[in-house]
Amino acid sequence: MPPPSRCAVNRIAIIAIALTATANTAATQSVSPMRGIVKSFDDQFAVRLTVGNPYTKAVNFDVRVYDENFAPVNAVIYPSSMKVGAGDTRQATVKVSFNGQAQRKIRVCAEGLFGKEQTNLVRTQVCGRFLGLRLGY
Amino acid sequence: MRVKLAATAIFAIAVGSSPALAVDAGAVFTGLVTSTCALTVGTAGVMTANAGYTTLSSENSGGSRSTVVALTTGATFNISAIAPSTFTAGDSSNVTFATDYTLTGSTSASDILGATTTLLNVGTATVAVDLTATKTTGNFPADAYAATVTVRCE
Repeated sequence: MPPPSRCAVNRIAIIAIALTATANTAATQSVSPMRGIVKSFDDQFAVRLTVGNPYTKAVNFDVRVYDENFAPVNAVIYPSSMKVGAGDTRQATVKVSFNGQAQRKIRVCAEGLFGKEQTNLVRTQVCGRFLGLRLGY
Repeated sequence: MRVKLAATAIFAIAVGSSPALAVDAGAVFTGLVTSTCALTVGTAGVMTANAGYTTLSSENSGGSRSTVVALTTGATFNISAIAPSTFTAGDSSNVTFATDYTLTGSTSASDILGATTTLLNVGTATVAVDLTATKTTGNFPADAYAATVTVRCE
């Protein structure tokens, strides 16, 4: 997926400003915040979250968006994959359409895959739940 | 006269010592811990075949569980272990998958079906995950098998 244009990123930042005020306090947690309500005048809303790597080595994480039933949601995710250094954090921004609805519930998950040399792999999935509310709809 | 001298002496001591009087000022610290869940993979599991080669399981002899440590700072997070639908390596035809997990530490629970969510207490809990692949017809042919269990905290 190509990265969004600079204009699109600015728009995302404006939409998500209420939520990022709390997201910036994250330290080394896997995902923060994990609950949130985003109000938007636009026909889409955005969430910015912080993905933390508690491990002692760099780890690749994927960021994915799901609905209430864990069905994949079409969303702009930037970046959708990221390498996070040991004990470090990185931010990802997700933009989702309301699809003509007044509100939308989504899950934003950070996923990592571990144990590639074993027969029984483990995928860790830490998911935040967010409610988008479309104002004036 | 004696009283006057004593009073003067006390006054002198008081005046003389006043520059050394301690003045307390509060140095304020604030801290914020966000409510979150962090998963850390401990050991990856190993599946082994049973005597009839009809199951590949971490619960069979020689098998071992996957362990994941879940650290939560809020009491609103649930854990679950989602079974795969196919092997990531090896033939998945006529195979069903099942997971269960056991929690120890801040939360205790035994042999919970993987898709069942369990509310985590605040603190650190170890999640030990078992995976069993069952051949519904026939038996597992020789191959290298791999499967991925998703441990979910939300």
